[in-house]
Amino acid sequence: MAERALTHKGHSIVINDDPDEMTVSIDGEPLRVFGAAGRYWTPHQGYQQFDSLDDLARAVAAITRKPDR
Amino acid sequence: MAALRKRINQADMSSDQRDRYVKAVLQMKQTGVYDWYVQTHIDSMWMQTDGTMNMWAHHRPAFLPWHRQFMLDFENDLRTADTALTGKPSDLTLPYWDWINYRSKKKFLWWGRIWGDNFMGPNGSGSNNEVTSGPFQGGGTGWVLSYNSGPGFTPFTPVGPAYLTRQFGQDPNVDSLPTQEQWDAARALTVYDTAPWDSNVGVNPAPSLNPVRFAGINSFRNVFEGWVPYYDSATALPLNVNLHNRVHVWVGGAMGPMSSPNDPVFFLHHCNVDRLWAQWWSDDPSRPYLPKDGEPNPTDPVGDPNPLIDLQGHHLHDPMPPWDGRNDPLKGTMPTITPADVLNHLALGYGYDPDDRVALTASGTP
Repeated sequence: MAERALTHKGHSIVINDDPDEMTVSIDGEPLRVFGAAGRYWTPHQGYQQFDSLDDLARAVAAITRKPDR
Repeated sequence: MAALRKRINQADMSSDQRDRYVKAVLQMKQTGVYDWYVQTHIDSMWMQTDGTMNMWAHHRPAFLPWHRQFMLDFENDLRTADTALTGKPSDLTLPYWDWINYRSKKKFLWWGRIWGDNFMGPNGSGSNNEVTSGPFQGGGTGWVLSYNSGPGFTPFTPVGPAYLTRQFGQDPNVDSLPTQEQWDAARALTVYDTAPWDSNVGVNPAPSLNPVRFAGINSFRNVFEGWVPYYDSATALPLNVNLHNRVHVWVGGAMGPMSSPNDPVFFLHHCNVDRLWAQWWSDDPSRPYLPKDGEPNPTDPVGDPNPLIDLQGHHLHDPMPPWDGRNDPLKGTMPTITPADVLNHLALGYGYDPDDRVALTASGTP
């Protein structure tokens, strides 16, 4: 799947789920993400695994400092 | 032998104990000691500047012994802070949050005790989920969260807000705390851990093949850490975040990322995790910690955080970083502590009250 962008709770998210170069960034800051086969993980939300990178990114965005604060 | 320190249920603390506990934590924050625990926890699952990724304390066998030493150090620093404030030898101990049995015998919620404004403070509120009352409200001149990683580690970005946040039960997959049935199912397992020694142990990629109530899974550690789906029956949908992990996600907010000790309730949660591990081990102290020394590094079959799972720090007699003799900027020369050193909590000088152990002594023999 090609790189795609979305927004969540005021944060901009960019996701590339190509297995060879899987990347997720929030407000331009890259996340460390790991996993495959519907079990994605990041130390930014370190106590659960996610079915998709979209779910992972939304969960991290929900606890990321708002740009205006 | 000195009398055991007794760690008690937070619901049984006196108002004086709660007050002293909070003041000691705030004192630790002021001196920078508290943030050492946040930083060390970040370092335990974060990337060094050379690109290597640590897994000192999670997704791996040393999850339980590493956190036991972490909690013991915190308790000792808490007592030091209490002594500094009162001028007297401290009898404070870590309280535990029994997140399974949070109701009294009369079914009144103990909720107000832990989440009261004179202890941990309440749930977050507003669009930012900010904790706006109690001793740990803040940002600014109040309780300011730390996101610093240690020397030799890459910066931790993006970061959360400077103030404490909580979102009780708001994660769509985690609207409840762990249950007695789930803990009983974990406690019934008899093998501490097994290859590939990571968060995939006991997780079957085909959900229909997963065992009901953790039956037959050879990794108490991975089940208790919370990575193994829980099926209440053969036809039930899975719960995918369980036990230890489930509590982190249920509290939400600052308890979610690797900087989770920013929320002081972290220490009450992990005190309960330690208590439950003690229960499991007390059921049969002859159960060995695994892996034993010399176990080779396995290759992760499904691409967990490191393709090659580095077991250094996880064998029975491996020093557990940062308790590996390193020179720490705040603590000086760290002692060398291995999983074998901390398997028997009674030998470390503390117990739990009430204590349901039936077969354990400080010497480790029934």
